[in-house]
Amino acid sequence: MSDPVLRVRDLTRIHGPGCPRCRELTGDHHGTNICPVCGSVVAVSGVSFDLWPGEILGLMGESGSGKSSVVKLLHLDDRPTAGSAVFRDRDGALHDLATVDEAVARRLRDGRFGMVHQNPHLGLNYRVSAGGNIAERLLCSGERRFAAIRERALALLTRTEIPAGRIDDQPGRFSGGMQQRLQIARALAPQPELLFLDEVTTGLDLSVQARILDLILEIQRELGVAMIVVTHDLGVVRLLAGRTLVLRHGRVVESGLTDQILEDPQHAYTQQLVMSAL
Amino acid sequence: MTNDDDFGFLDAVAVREIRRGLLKALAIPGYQVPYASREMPVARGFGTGGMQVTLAIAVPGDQLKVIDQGADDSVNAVALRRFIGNACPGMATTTRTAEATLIQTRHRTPERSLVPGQVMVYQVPYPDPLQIVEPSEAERRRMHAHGDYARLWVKLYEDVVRYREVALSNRYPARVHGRYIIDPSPIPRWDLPKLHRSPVPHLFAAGREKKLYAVPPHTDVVPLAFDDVPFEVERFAAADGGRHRCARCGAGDTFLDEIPLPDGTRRWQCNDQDRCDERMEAMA
Amino acid sequence: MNDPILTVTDLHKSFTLHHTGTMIPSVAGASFTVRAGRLTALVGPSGAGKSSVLKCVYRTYLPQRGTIRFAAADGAMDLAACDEPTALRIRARDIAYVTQFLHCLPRQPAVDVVAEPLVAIGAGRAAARAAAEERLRELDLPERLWGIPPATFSGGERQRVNLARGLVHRPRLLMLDEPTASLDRRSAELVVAAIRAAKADGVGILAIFHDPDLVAALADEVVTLRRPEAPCAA
Repeated sequence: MSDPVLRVRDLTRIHGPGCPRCRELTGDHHGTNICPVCGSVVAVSGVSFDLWPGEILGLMGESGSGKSSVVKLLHLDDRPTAGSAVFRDRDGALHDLATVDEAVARRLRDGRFGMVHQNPHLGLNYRVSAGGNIAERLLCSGERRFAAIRERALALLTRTEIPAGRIDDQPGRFSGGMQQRLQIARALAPQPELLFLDEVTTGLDLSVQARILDLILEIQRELGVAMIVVTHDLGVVRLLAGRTLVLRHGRVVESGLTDQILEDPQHAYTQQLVMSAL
Repeated sequence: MTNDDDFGFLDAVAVREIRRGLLKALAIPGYQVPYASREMPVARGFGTGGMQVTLAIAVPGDQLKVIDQGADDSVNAVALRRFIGNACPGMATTTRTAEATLIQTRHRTPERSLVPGQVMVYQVPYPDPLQIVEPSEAERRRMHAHGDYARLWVKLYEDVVRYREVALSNRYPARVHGRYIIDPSPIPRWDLPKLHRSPVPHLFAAGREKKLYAVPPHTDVVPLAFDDVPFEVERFAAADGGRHRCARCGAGDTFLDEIPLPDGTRRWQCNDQDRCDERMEAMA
Repeated sequence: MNDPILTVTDLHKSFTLHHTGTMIPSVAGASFTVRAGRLTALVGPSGAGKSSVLKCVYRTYLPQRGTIRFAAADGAMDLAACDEPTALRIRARDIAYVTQFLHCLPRQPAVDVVAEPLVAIGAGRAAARAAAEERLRELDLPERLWGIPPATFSGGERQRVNLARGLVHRPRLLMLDEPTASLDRRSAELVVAAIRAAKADGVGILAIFHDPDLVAALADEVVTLRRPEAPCAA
């Protein structure tokens, strides 16, 4: 078997002063992620997993479970308090995302990662056109030919089912679903090796959701890009993810094949989560 | 320290600080060095940065030329020349590019080729090329530090999409020595190629924004442009397909001003008055 | 030729419901074999855990005890104990699981739904589509339906799409959970024909049929499961 794209071990992020007892006094058994001794918030604690090439991994949990915090750490928007997350790039080089310097972090974010946020305002620049949003990612990775940028932007818009005629429109004039698809186009521009999708369908109409989920699966099939999908929606992980981690209070309480998690949940919390959703 | 109380208006501490800042700016081409802009007898935003640099580097024996909008005889240019002349006993003033050792300018770089021994000082309103894409200075500093100029390129992309070319008549961003991108502030595109591997130092100073930066002699200055949409200078294209010429000296290779006449027609004339005069004298 | 491809030994499965503190037994000691080109039918009263056995083999359920030896293309392994990436790989390549329900993306046309398992293991889209069309023709799905998402199909049409999808990548093991339930006669006949063809092609089949006549007609081996004891406190 090939090597994992991402090998995460004991990833931990504590907000606040931190103390030696933060991790032992928080978590599922204690029903909180706030340390009773020092008041620090244990956002992520001891998270470990492997992400395999071409795999879609689900991170599931309620708000505050730490799933978005994990993605922030992996997308280098935040740095862990402890642990490691080793990313293996296409060329076989290993980067520990816990310790890479800012210059490497920028190169990884610009060229090898893609991020799609729940809120398109975090992922899109509303002062420039749809094409400009895609161009920015291409320019970040060093493309300097205008015609090539234009061509790639058009191809990506077509791929994400945005009419080519709207390439020069501002994203503010797009529908919610189209803004989300533009974010996906933008994320895909530099042909990333790892894509993060953070609650990308939350708050959209059902038909719009279905279209985006379809698109994500098609892209995964076509490009074989590994993805981490963060969601609180069981339907989304069922459709997209082969494996799923269930997070609570910053810990992984259960992990397994997605259908196993949904149909034969082992942990009391997962059972409760699954039952309340069905 | 050559400065004393009766030379150059600035106190010795200010002179030393500005000179140090300039050395740093020359050592890191294109990097914006912060400095404590001093109060000048004119309001900030009226060329106080250029004045401070000129006063800090001038020495007796210098020949000073001041250009404003290409002209030596505008009110600003005359007032500045007179003030600096008064503040620096032993320094002469001139309108001749060829004679000048120190040229303080707003809007133009002289048409006549500069020679070693001369120094250009620019009065800069906006020192940061990223200002048009990022309002926060802290963020702009981070972007410069990381060489993160993608958003500036996006501005170029948007211009080419909208206007088929980059819609910047002046303040055209250029990369200095392959690293920092500068705003060559008020000079037109026409003058930008003159900075590339120029034999003289070009010193830029923004009094209001409190920044110094420089292009040292013989340094690469490359305008930002897409590989397939090349940078172009002003064409001054005439209706007949040719190029407008100066109505006064007949030059067809200078930056021209377009002057509307009362009868509704237009006249084209050299913007660099000294260059125009020189040519007239040569023809006389 | 008729080597065993699946050997289940002493399989036990129960569910522990934490919020009520109960333990519900589902499978109590199932043991059987499935051979290549043969059909093993699971029979037994309702509640005997027939579907649970299929789900354990598919790794949707985690068994408490027992082994599930499977002869995958790249060697034998225990599906009850292998790691998740291996389980996913085996699923994608070697095992097809066809229930009464068809899960697919809402906008996908029938031909792409059927082609999907081939695409997932890296076949080209055109080749996958061609293979899918062949399967749909065998199952006599009208050609005018191929380009339409199956959501609007009748039960019989949908089930034929489902079976075509299960067979398109020629799995080593096909699991069928009441594949003819609530089908019209013609659809049921087509499905039965397809099952016979798959057997002849060397596919090992583990099936649950609601109709005893189908068991008699298709099964090479019959395994009777007994109902486990009643639920108790965990």
